[in-house]
Amino acid sequence: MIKRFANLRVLVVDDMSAMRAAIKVQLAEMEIVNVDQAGNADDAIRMLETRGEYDAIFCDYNLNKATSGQQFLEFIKSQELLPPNTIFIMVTAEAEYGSVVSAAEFQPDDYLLKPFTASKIKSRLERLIDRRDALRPLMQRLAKKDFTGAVVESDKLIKANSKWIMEALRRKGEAQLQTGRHEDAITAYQAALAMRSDLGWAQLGLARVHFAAGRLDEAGAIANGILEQNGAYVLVYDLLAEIAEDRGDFESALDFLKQALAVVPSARRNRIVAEAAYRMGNLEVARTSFEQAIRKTKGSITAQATDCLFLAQTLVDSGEPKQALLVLEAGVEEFGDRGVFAQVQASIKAQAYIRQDDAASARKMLVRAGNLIPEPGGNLATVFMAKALLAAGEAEEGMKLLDIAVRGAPGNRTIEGLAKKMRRDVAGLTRKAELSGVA
Amino acid sequence: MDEKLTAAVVHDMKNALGVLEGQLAILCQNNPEVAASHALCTSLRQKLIGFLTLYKGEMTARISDVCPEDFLAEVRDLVFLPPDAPEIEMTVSPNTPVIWFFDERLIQLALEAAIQNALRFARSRISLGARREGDFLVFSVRDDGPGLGTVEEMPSTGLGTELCRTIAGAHVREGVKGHVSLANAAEGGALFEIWLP
Repeated sequence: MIKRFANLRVLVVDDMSAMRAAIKVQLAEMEIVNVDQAGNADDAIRMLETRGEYDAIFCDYNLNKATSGQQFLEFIKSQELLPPNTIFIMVTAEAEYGSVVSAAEFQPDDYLLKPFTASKIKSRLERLIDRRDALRPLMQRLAKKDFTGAVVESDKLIKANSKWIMEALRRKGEAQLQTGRHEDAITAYQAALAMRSDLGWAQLGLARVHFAAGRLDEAGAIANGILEQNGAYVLVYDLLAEIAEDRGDFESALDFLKQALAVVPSARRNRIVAEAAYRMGNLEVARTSFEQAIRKTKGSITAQATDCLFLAQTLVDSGEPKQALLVLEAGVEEFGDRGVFAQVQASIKAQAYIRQDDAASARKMLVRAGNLIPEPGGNLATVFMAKALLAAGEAEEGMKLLDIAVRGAPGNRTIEGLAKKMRRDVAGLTRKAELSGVA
Repeated sequence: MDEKLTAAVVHDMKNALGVLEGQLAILCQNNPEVAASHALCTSLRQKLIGFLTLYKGEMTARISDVCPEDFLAEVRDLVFLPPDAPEIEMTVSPNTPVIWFFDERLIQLALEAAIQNALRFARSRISLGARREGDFLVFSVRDDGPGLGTVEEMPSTGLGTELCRTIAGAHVREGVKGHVSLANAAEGGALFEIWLP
C-alpha cells in the first residue's frame, strides 16, 4: 500500500509556513517526499507552469486577502493550468465548510476539514487515487475532445456497474451532447435520474440537451424546477440567461446572471454579468460590473487584461473617450503593451480618437491594429478590429471581419453575441442617419 | 443566553481543545499513560463539533454518490479509539448496493457519535454493518455490552442521539425521510441503526 504513494508529486499551497510544514510531515509519514510548497497563489501558479504535472494539490481556503483558495482553483481551472489527472483538495476549517461548499462554483475533488491526521490524509488520498485511476481513460478522451471515445470509455464503467457509474453517466451525457446526439444524451441523464430523481447535475444536463435541441420551454421548465430545490446552483442561472438571451429577452437574461453573482460574488461572475450587459447594450451595468471585476482582482495574478479592454470599449461606447484612454493607460502598466492586449488596445484607441475627432491618430491606430493582427480569425482581437473599422465608416471591411470571427469560433457565445450586437448597432445607426436625413 | 454568543464560546472551546489534543498527541508518543487523556480530549472535541452542527439550525444534507463499503471502511479506520478499546469489525451484507446517495460528512459524524456511545458499553467488540432494506440503506453499530435497560424506543442519551436523529432526518428522498433506531440486538448488546432513503 505504502509503495503506491512513494512516487506521488504533491504541491501544498498555504500562506502559513507552519501549516505547510505540518502537512509535509504528515505526507512524509506516508513516504511522500516529493512535496513542493507555495506560500501564495502566484508562486503556486508558477510551479504549475514550470514544474510539470502534480498528482495532488492541497490548497488552504484562506490564502490571503487578494486571492482565496477558491479563486485560485477557479483561475487554474479556467486557464487550463490544472491537468485532468491532478487531484485538487481544498483544506478548510470546520466552521467555514458550509459557506465554502455552497459558494463553490468550481468544485475541488475533495474537501479536507481541519484539523486532520496523517491517517485521514492517507485514506482520502487512497480513495481519490482509486477514483482517478478508474476514470483516467475516460478523462483522457475528454481532454482530447475525443467524445466518441469518451462514450466508449463511460460505457465500460456503466456496464461493469462500477462505483464510478454516476461520474460515467454524467460524462457520457456531456460527450453525447457535444457530438449532437441529443436523444442518447437524454438516455444517459435519465439513467442517472432513475437512480436518484433529485440529482441537480442530471436535471441540468437534461435541460441543456433540450436547450441545444431548441426546445426552450422544456429547458426553462426543468431549470426552474432545479432552482426550487437548490437556489444556489449557479450554473442553472447561466442556462436560464442563455435561454432568455436566445429569446431576445435581455432584461431577464441579465437578471438571471445578477442572481448568480449574488450567490457567488466572484470576479469571474462580475465579468460574466459585465460581458453580457455589454453585448446586450446595457452600458451602465457593463461599466460598473467591469469596474468591480477589476477591483476584485487588482494586484492578484487572477487579474485579466480583457476586463480592462472591455471597460475601455464600454467607455468609448458611452461617449467617454478620454476616460477610456486613461483605463487603457493603466492597463498597459499592469499587463504590458503586448500580445492580445496590444492588438485590442489599438482598435479601441482608434475608436476613442474618432470620438475625439482626431482622424489622423485614429487612422494611425487602425493601421497599427491591422499590423498587430497576423491573421483575422475567431478571436476577440478580430472582433474589436471589426468594431474599429465600423466606427471609422468602413462598414464593408468591418462586416467581413465579423463574419470571419464568428465562423472561426463556432459555439463561442461571447464572440457570437458581440458580433450580433455590432450588427444591431450598425443597423441602428443607419436607421438613425436615415431618419435625420444625413444619409 | 444570546445564541450567537453561545456558538462563539463553544467554537472557541472546540478550537482550544484542538490545540490541547495536538499537544497530548505528542506527549502520548513517549508516555502511554497520557493516551487516555488524549482520547478524552478527542471525544470532547467531537461532541462540540456535534453540538455546533446541531446548533447551526436547519441542516442540509449535501448528497453525493458514495460507495457504502468504502465509506464504512474509512469510518472504521479513522474513528478515534482509546488505548484499550475493543476491536471494531465490519460486516457488509452482499445485498449492499455499490453506490448510495448521502452526505458523507454528516453520516460520518453520526456513526462516530454512535461508535463513541458503543465504546462505553462494549466488552470485546463493536460491529459496524451495512445492508439494504427495501428503499433504505442501513448502517448499523452493535456492541456486545449488556444491552438497553428497560425497553424504550429512543432513550434520551442526549447530544449524540439528537445529532444522529437530525442527520438522518436531513436525508430525504421523494418525501421519505431517514430515521434512526436503538434496540437490543438479537445476539445481545445494543444495536443502533441509521436508515437512509
